[in-house]
Amino acid sequence: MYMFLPFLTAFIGLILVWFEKRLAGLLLLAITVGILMFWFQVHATTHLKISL
Amino acid sequence: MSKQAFPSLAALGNQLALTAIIGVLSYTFFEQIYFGQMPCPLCLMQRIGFVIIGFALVLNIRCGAHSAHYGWGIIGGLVGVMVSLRQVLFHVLPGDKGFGATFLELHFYTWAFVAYVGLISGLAFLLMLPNRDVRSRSVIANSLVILFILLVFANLVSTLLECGIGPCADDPVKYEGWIWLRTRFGF
Repeated sequence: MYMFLPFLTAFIGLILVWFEKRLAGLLLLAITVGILMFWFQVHATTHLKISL
Repeated sequence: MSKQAFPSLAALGNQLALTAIIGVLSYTFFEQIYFGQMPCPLCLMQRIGFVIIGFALVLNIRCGAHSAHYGWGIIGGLVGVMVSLRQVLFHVLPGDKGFGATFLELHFYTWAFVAYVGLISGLAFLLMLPNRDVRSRSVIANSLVILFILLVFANLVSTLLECGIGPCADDPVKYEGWIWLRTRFGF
């Protein structure tokens, strides 16, 4: 798992937003949210072994 | 009076919420560096949740308020709620001392849950306000945005130093990425 990845996408997205590239920023924000959701899903189902 | 002297309520709310997130991320960094409290994988996920809400607020401040920005902020907050609540439930059994240090007698993941609920409520209230003059280029707004970007970059470097490019340890006690760098390049 590349745990630094969502920070990297958020950082690149924030730099783009600083230069007012709104759509590119929104895309990277969506990717960041997606990585976090995927990451939590993997961590919760395989690593923490929770049963819901 | 000029518009710059009195920002709209929505602009003020966005900047205050971003200040709160900067405060949270700064304090976790202070705990990490000063007290050596290294973040666990779930703690890193909670930090990312705050970063996502902050990102949405930066979009509002730099590009103007838009319901899509608030929407992504709320989604990020909901994922953060799931992660922090998961960690609360993980340590909720009687006799479990919890993970890591406490702040005002509550663990950080419990505070994270409280903060997420507060921020999601804040975003809901901001959505009800007219989206006038949220876009700001004032010194305060620019400073907040730059500070937030620097904090995200610091988190990126810290996570790389802690975990390298592999998975983080469940209960991290050393900077594995930093050790790898030192052995690889011999310094």
